[in-house]
Amino acid sequence: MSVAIETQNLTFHYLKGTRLQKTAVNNVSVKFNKYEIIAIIGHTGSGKSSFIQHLNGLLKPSSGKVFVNGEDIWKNRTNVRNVRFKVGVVFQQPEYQLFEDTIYKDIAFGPSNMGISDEEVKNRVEEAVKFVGLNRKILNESPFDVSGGEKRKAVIAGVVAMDPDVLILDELTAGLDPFSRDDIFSRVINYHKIRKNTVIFTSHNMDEVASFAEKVLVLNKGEVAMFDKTSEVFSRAEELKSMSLSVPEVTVIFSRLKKMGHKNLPDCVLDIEGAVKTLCSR
Amino acid sequence: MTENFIEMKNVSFKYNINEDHCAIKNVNIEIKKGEFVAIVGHNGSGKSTIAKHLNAMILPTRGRVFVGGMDTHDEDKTYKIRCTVGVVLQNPDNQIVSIIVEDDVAFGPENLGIKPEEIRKRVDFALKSVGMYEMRKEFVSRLSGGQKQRVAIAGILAMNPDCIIFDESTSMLDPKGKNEVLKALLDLNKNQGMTVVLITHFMEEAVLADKIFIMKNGEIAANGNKRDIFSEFSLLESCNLSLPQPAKLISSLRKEGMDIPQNPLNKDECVDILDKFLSSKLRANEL
Ligand SMILES: Nc1ncnc2c1ncn2[C@@H]1O[C@H](COP(=O)(O)OP(=O)(O)OP(=O)(O)O)[C@@H](O)[C@H]1O
Ligand SMILES: Nc1ncnc2c1ncn2[C@@H]1O[C@H](COP(=O)(O)OP(=O)(O)OP(=O)(O)O)[C@@H](O)[C@H]1O
Ligand SMILES: [Mg+2]
Ligand SMILES: [Mg+2]
Repeated sequence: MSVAIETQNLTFHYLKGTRLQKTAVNNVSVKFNKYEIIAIIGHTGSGKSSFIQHLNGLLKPSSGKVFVNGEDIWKNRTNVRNVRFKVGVVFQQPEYQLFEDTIYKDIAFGPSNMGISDEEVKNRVEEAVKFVGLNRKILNESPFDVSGGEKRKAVIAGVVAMDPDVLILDELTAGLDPFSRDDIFSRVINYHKIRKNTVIFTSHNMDEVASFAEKVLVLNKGEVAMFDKTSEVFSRAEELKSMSLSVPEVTVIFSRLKKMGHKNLPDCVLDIEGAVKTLCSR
Repeated sequence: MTENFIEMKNVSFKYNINEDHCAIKNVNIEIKKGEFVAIVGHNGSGKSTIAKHLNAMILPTRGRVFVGGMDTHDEDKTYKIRCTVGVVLQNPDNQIVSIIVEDDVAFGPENLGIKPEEIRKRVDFALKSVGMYEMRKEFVSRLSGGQKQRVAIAGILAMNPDCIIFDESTSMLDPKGKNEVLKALLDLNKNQGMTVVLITHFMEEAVLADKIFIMKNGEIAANGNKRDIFSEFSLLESCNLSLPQPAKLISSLRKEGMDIPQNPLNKDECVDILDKFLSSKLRANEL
């Protein structure tokens, strides 16, 4: 399997060399394979957003290296510039990513800086709007005049319109209603299947991590605490709890039933689909 | 019968007076003192618009809003209304005004003209409630998203309002933080009689409320107690909402033909139901 992104001993200090120095990412070495769907979880302030910003060159490591498609992104200037189009990041707070006077222009901003024709830009915006399921009526509105969830969808559309090889979504579903949450995930996963890209998302919602991620990276105080298959990670409930995290509700329900004496239930049930399968096959 | 503490009477609101589109239409809401109410609804359904009406950040285009008997149209009362109802905004950046964490939390009570010793007490209490006491001297600009959200919550707690409105204020918290904040809210509600309005996309949170309002396209599509609301699967679905996980699990099993009539509201009830179900199945197999 080939590697999409690799970090080697990645360490980052905010305000390096000052009295206020703070280590946000500490010696992180991981490999994300092409075509994987990876979730990053961790307590508030564990370094998820800081880590992610290294993957498309927005933050420069204090020490350590970042490789995208095998190339050291800080080797020279053009590498860093190009990596922004290869690795698309949707930030946690959409407000920081919306600055044009209409939603349409915001979505078009990324692709129009990629040196493609106006016609192609227009097509990509159209496709992206369809992809996120944004109401077309608000395309000419100012990004300040729409609801929180609508802003979020607009930012996602803007990144998808650049068609990046690696799609990174920081708190993808924060602020989305339940329908849009499932909807956006199934769209991301469909897109992932067609486009064969790599998807990395962070989330505080363990239910969606369990349902959609193949692998989970757990960060704790800036360090890697676990990096494994989803079912392996969620079978370590006590450790997760000690790191301010939790396991999905369904997982809790089944582990309690097992403790109550229903011995032949499996060790780790991740989601409703899995639960239904387990109970129907008995 | 107790009097209504908060009342929205036939409220409609347009952000742009020249357009036809109403952000909310003919909304009627009554909340009694000490109630715990949840408002749920799809993106753009008007939840934040309602929140902004309740502390006079915006005024109805049509209809009237009363808080503790005061009309929000009455400009002389605006200040009093804002002391009565505190809103934790959806985006913490719209709320945070100071450079240092504890100054930001003190900002509200300072403006209420409260004595410094009392302010200190309230600020410490609020910071501890959200788990940010250790970071009280930090620069706000250096906080993560969830840390900022905690500071915004503490800022409103420190004002000690009669009613607190949470506009998706746990959306960026980790599971432990979310639990702590919800516990603090329940505690304020049960033990200090604080009126709570929780706006959320998480049905697991809405279940904490006594009464639930469902918004759809700017109108109230349904309201009622949680057991009634969460037995209406199709209604929820038609409003882009979902069931809480335990109820969803049981309803999925029912769809597969399993005979489980009850609707659990939470994990405990669900474990109970499944335990009985599995045990009876086991007994049936043994016979
Ligand atoms: N601009 C900054 N300057 C200084 N320190 C910062 C800055 N941004 C973040 N930090 C600190 O770095 C640490 C990691 O923050 P980061 O935003 O990466 O966490 P996170 O895991 O994304 O948290 P959350 O779940 O709340 O979004 C935190 O302790 C935070 O206080
Ligand atoms: N400042 C504004 N100017 C113009 N229109 C607005 C403004 N804020 C919201 N709207 C519109 O008003 C309607 C209701 O928005 P509101 O923010 O109340 O929704 P919401 O239920 O809080 O949504 P979300 O779950 O996404 O936060 C939406 O159609 C939205 O586009
Ligand atoms: Mg973050
Ligand atoms: Mg809102």
